[in-house]
Amino acid sequence: MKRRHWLQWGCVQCACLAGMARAQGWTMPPRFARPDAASEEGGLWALMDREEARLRRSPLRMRDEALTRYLSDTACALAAEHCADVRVYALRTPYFNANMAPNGMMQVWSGLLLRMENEAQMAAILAHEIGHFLQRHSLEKLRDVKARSAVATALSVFGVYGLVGQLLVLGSAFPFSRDQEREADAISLVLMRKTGFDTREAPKVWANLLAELAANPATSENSLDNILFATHPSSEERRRTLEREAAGGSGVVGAEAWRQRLAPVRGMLLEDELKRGRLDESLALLDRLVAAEPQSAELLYFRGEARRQRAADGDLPLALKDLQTAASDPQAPAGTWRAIGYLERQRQQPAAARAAWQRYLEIAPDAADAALVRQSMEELP
Amino acid sequence: MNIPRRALLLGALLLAAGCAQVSKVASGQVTVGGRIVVDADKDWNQFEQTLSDGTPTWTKEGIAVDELKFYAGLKDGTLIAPTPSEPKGQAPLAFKAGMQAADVVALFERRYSRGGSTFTLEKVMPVTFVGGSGYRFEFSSIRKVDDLRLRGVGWFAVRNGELWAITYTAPRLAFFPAGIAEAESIARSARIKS
Amino acid sequence: MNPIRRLRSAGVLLLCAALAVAPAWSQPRTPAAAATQSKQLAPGFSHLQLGDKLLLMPIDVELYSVSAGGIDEPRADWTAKAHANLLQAIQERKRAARVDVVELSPDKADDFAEQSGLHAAVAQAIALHHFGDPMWALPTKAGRLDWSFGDAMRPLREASGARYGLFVWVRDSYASPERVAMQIAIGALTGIVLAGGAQLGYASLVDLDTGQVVWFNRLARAYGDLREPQPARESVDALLQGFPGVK
Repeated sequence: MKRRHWLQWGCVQCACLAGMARAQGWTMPPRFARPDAASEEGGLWALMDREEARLRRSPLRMRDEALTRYLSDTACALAAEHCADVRVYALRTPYFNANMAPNGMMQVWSGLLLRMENEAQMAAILAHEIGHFLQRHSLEKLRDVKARSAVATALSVFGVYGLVGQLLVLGSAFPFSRDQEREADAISLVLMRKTGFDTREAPKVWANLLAELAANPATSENSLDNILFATHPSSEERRRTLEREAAGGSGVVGAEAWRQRLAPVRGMLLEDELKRGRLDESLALLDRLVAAEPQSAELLYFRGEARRQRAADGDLPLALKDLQTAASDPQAPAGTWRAIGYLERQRQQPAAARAAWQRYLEIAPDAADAALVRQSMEELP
Repeated sequence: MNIPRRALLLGALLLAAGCAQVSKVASGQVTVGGRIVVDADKDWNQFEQTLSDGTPTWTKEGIAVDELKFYAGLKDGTLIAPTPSEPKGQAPLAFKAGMQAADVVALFERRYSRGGSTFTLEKVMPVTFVGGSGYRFEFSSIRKVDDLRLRGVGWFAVRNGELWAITYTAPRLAFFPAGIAEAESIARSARIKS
Repeated sequence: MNPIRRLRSAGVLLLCAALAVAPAWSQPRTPAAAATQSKQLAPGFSHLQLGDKLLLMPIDVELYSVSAGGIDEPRADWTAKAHANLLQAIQERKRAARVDVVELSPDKADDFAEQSGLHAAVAQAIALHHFGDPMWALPTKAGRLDWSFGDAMRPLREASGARYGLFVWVRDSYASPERVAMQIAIGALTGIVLAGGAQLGYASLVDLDTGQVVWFNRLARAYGDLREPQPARESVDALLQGFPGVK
């Protein structure tokens, strides 16, 4: 029933939006005043204020100073006169998600951070969310958050619902309408241009996501089943529109700067990524990352490890190749040698396995699994 | 009725297969899952099928607080937890007969990481379990749904291609420290029913 | 589970739940009430001491209205009023009971997020296993209110000087059939099946030194109004029903 209601509402919105100014004629609205507590919007603000308090003290909140400061500063620059009303929170959750509440709170998940190739792409996401905020799209979408507290409590009792369930409850899984997405896209390009970012990077975010989805044979585009698109349904059409509108852009891309900022946490984020158990998607992501940084021992380790875990046809030799390349860099993550050991054991090469594990234990004598690796070594023929 | 409510309603209605949802486990020698025998110093509560996602689960304090789970001789291909109604294309949490120790740890790692919860392995080492060589691992976890910090310990062994395991999780404040000694004692006493 | 079994299970569940609904409805002053009160108290605890200090944790209350279109909306003004009314009613009781109540300031709340979060999780377990339908009861508790946080709450005692912590959680919406479906779902989980509107909540008193949950009350009923001071007082009375006296 809800879906029908939403679609009906979506059509109403279409009619309204038909008359709205196009991107070129769009001007930033004035700052929003806190709505009357008695109003629907007021209720949502208050609810999101409480959600924000929870986020602020959540153990999942990322506290890397440089990274979080950068996100806040960039959002501030993009939001211009709304800067003071925008607050950004980075959460350690390995899924692609960013959303912004009517009270100005924005959350960005670590799965998204991992997938950004440069500052411009990060800005595209922030600007897109700010676009939704400025046009008050979230207000409509968050209608369902009312039920959140009561239902979420019941859900949390059993924890039987996974992430999608939780997102459903938070209302963020209900996608924006096509028109709303188009509007936010258009505004994001305006904001990016104003702030000096290269708009041509914006469509790449979605192209990369689509490619990742395509790598997983079980999923379909725009399927609410797939967490990647639960919050931001994408489409070839959207990507093409963005590409067209963004053409001729120039400005800051900031690939190296972004990489440096992400470097301290990237290893942890990649560990989280692999634990998702969606290795087809992880490998699509890692292929892209390795292509941009072919010398990175860290990336080669994780790609090798992902293949080793997936162990589909042809994976293991490719895994070994990546890991051995990584191993030529003495700064490679210690896990590189552990993984080589597992592969060599599987290939019935005990001497090579022993050598690799020896190296692992030398580099990481206090690793959590040191005793397990030592035991595995002793069990070698 | 919007989607989350419908989902909740359905989920709730699916929960029960009968009346009593929790049964008592009297202290003493107990056979769990028909195949694993343990000695419990104290009484425990056991969740029935519906609340325990199919794996025999004991608790002292109740749902979503502490959990002692028993995996009694899982055969090749058996899931350690059901695949939730979540994204398709998710690798199921299936035990494979050929799994090495590290693979079993990774399996539990994936189980506890589901839904955006975190899993941090603290330590894993060889121990005796169910009368032979096995492993014990310790971990900490942040539960996504309510930000609760948990600690956990697992014991496992692969015997003749079957997985034997016990896991204990509880909030890191107060409950884990209070409950771990009993869980350890149960795990130490565990043997395979002959 | 095939569809037929599912329906049958659903029927059984609702029946079991319905059979156990009765105690939740009324708050009479009868032997039944006395039994209810002992259910609310931890073994060995019966009253507060003169001079005991209570720390009131930030009240977690949300009020909703269901619009004509059948959509729940949070009402900030109602929630704010309910919050104020709850506070006022607690302060009145404090005066009457000659107990000192201090509030945990919001800026301090972040420091104790883990304790609050832990309490919330345990409170749900208590609401389900101790106050819910008997089918959810934990046999080892033997019908006793017997949950403890050990020394985990001591930091709160140290920060406030209070002996006990009072935690309050309320979800309430004012309406209509639309919400009934949700309440049935929640009811199936908690053992309450409600026909009309519902107030759901709990109040919990924790000894911050020993960690023992010394008193707990779960509210689950079809009426009540926290928005205006007068009816709110009645709702708060229900929420704090059986609250231990002072000796």
